Amino acid sequence: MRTDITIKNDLIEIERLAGCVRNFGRENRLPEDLVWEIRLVLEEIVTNIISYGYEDRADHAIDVNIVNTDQAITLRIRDDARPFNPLEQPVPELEIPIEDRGIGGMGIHMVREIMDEIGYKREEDSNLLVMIKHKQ
Amino acid sequence: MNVTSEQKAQGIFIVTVTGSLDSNTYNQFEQKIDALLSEATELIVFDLEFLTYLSSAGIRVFLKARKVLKSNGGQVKFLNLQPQIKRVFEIINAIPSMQIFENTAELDRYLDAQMKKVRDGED
Repeated sequence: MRTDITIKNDLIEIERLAGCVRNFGRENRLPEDLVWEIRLVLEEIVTNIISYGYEDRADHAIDVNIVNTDQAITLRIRDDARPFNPLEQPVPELEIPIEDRGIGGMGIHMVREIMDEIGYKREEDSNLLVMIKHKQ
Repeated sequence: MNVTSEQKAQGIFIVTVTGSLDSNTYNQFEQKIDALLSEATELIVFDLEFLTYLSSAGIRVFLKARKVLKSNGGQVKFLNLQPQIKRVFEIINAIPSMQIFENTAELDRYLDAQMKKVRDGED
């Protein structure tokens, strides 16, 4: 089964995204751990896109797609931000307040720990991130 | 997301965080505890029994608190980590450097021992 969610580039959308993930998890009878991991990964990526991807103050759409099969969970995130791989985004240290330096890449690290395969592609005016987690 | 704090003793606070600590709520959390990050604070124990969700944004605030207190000779500890919250700490490998109390009884024993040390030191 699959679900498609489009959110706005506003951190307040994180809550709605989480709700969609929880619903999807229920409908697909996914283990709670897995639902949790999907929620974490999507939040980390979407937060990075929203925080660092846009150079204007306009509204932008971020498309999130989740596919569940017996073999794996596949997450796809498409946005129209500047050419930007949220997983390679090393936020320049100077932009981080002093108490946060050195722990900025934590979200990225978490995504890498949780997902098994990660691919980024720039397609015309979009960034496309595909992440796969294999099931046991 | 809700944050309450209780002073247990001189320089010792229990901060209870409930709800979800994510990219959207971590700001409020940070503001609420900023007042506690002073030289006078020796220990903050974060009671996370009713924390339902934690992402890196929330963890960053915990790490900041630890960093700031440490620079003044203080520390942070954690209480009542739910399994999934514990997993988040594990993923970022934060556990070795943080002390966790399994339950309130363990915390109370620790606090009693600390206060006894202070009393004995005053004799």
